[in-house]
Amino acid sequence: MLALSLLLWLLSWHANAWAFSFAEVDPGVSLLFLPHGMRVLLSLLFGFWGASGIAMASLLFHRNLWSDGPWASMITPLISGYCAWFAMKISLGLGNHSGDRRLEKLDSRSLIGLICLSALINSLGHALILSTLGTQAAEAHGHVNLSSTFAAMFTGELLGALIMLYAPRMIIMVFGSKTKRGPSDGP
Amino acid sequence: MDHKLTDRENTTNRSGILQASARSGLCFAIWMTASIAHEWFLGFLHYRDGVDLLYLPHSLRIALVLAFGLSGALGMCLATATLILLAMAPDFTSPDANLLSIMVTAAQVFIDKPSTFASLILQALASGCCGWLALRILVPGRQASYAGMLVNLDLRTILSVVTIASVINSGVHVGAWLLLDADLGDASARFSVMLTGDVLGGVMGLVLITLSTRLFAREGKMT
Repeated sequence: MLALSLLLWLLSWHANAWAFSFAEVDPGVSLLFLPHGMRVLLSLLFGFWGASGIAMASLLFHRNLWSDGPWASMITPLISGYCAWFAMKISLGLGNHSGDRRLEKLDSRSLIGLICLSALINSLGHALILSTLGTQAAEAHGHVNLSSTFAAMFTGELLGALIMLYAPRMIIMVFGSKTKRGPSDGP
Repeated sequence: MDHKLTDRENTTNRSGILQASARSGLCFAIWMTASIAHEWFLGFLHYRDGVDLLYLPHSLRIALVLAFGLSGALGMCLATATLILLAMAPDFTSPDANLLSIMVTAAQVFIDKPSTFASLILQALASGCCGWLALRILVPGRQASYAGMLVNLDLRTILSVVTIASVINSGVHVGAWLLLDADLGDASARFSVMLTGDVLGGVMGLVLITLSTRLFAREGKMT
């Protein structure tokens, strides 16, 4: 589970960086961050081990920041990995069940709430850490106006996760209803 | 007999319309007060005109719909339109200004540039109806019992309704500003800050409103 979530996270992160490079406002901060949906999904499916896989993968990304601020580079991957798991635990009371039970209990309100809370924890955590521990790192990587960076990060994660988790459903709804109607049914 | 029944129905309809108008008027006053109070107390959180990093009145967009239904949304639409009109007539605080002069100034703006009118309508609709739309999407078929929800709001409902309402509101607002051909500079930054401000303010405000309603309800039961 740990290896799978690590691999999936790395894959989705790189795919997003390649596909939506135009939406990047600061280095590492995108206005469309679809992997946040993957983060929520992996935490829902694999719980703690899924979150640990994401944290380990994020640590690999942050290796280039070590020279700028080691503490920031240590803590931000942990926030990135465990934010969805933490949000699941504190707000929705879904943390202690197995993956199947968590998915059974999940409705659209819980899922959107989870997406929003985890995005808030992650972006707020990143902004706080960068403003207190990693000012040099933040300046070196372009995060000078931290409130704007926080807002962009939060927006990217929120929209990205909503698109990733709800776009397939919308497509199925649209095309499913067309298929049910059939071409010979007339207008 | 039929004639009498029709009269009664007419009276009921008329009182229903009056009640709905009174509710809309109350929501109009609440929204105007909240917007002006926000300007006074939290004006330092301004990012750009109409964009804040923490916008507490966003919680009212949902709370007023929960309490008053569609009448609440209508009141907020009208209040937003009025606030935009007042902003368009910058000299409305001068001693010479009166209602007619403000209306003439606003009409002149609309005649000169019709897209301004479309933009105003869009912004007013987004501001007033985003909470109602979010509730219709996430809690369908419960319109009659929205009022009861205000006391029993849980965190997941608050987070989800606020999120959807914020996405609708900030998306339509930025779209309306682009329609105006306004020199936004960084539309994406405006959108992200507005969305974040709406979510933060909406969640904080609704948590406070829910806690206070619960407290009042408990005290009411005790007495």
